[in-house]
Amino acid sequence: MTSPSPLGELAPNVTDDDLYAVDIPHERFAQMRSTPGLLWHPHGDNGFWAVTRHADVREVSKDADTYSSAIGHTNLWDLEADALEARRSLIDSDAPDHTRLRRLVAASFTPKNIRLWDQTVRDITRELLDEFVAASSGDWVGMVAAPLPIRVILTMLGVPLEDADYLVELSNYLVEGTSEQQSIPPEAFGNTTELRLLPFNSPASHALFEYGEKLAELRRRDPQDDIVSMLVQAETDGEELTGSEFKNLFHLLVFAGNETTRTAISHGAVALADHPEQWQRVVADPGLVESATEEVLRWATPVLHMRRTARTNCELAGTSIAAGDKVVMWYASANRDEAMFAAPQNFDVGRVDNEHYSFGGGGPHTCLGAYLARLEIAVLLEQMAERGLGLERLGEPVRLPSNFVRGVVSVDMAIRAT
Amino acid sequence: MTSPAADGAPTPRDTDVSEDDLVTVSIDAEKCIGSGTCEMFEEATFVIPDDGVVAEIVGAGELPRDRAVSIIDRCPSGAISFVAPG
Repeated sequence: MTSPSPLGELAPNVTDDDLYAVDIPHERFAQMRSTPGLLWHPHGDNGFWAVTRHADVREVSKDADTYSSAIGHTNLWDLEADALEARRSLIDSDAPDHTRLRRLVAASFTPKNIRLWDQTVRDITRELLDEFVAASSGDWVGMVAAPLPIRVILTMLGVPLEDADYLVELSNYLVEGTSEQQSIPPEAFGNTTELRLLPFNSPASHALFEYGEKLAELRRRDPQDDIVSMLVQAETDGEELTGSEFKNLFHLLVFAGNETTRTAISHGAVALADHPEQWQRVVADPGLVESATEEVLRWATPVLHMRRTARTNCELAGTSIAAGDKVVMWYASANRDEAMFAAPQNFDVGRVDNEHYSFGGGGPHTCLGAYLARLEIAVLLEQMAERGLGLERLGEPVRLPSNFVRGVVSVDMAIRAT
Repeated sequence: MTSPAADGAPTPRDTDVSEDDLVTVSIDAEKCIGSGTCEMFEEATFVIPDDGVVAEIVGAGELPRDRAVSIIDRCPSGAISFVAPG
């Protein structure tokens, strides 16, 4: 392939999954940020424009008319038309479908309504910390980072908590689907659907769809005060939600509701263990919990990139983009942009004006669960600080080899008095 | 489609902002995705009614210019804009 870049320059490879088993390739991104214009990144039999600067990510993110989420796919590779339709969710939609779907669930996630879950989050967090303290050491991901967000989102959705472990298991298999390594066969969970028609190409998506449909059936008969009941109500009210839309929305809420925050809490714990002086600041001054939460989010960058597709010929950072070109926003890079953040390589719990893009760079696709994630992280930090709990890392984190989700599979931690 | 400043709208740097410098904003109900961001930062000016999902203006929709610029920027859907004077 020839490069359509006016400078004839190609980006260094930042899509190799194995890179991310070590860490984000920060030096490569820094090199790309300092190169004028946009770099063309070969990928598969084509490629994409790599958007790495904070200001450029913002421009793409906010201009949903020019940069479509509904064309091709929001991941690096294109989906065939039937697969895209079968898998289409809030993430892969443009207005007006996106607006309609988003509004169905938006009210449950406004700052005002998220505050209603404050006590639930506190209770779940206290219980998990009690267990971790009692054990004094263990896998932080399995014991705290994974169960905290999944228990919260399942409570909101109306999923019985005894099913939490099953849904965490499904979610773990979905994360595998973002990398090249899938450990389960296509027919797992009784799946008969072609994998390309399932989100993350994973048979676990079939199981999650099936679970969501069963729960919807229960709630149709016996509505409760939960999100699934509200969605099936909308479905019956005005045909606002098709069966496929419900399945994919349920899938998204379960997956995004736990996987991303779990990643943030995992990287946050590692950062606090590796920077004990920063954690001391929070323990000494709980007023820093809010800024520490934002810094954990910036530092973690749970979702590494999202793709858009140019709807029309356009220009970004002086580079001409042709209609149909893939345009990929690298949050992993924007969150370390020297032009935006002072000393971006430093983990600083007191950082001010921390306009990180861990919830996206603005625009209509801004993370639905942003205020829920913030609440969960802030409550965890607050309770750890109140108890004077510090963390010590007992080994290297086992990272997911994925260029999309910056997952931590496990990390052994021990309690350390502060 | 770009930041408010690029649209020629005033930015805080254009003038010395005083509390008296009130501007009027409006909401495009077609664009609003109901994130509730405006309500959180400017509860005296915006509300999402309990029986709705789209933000609405409270009263005259007036607020100090610098805070208007800020909330226009924060709104994820780009649904808030200045009402042109006159």
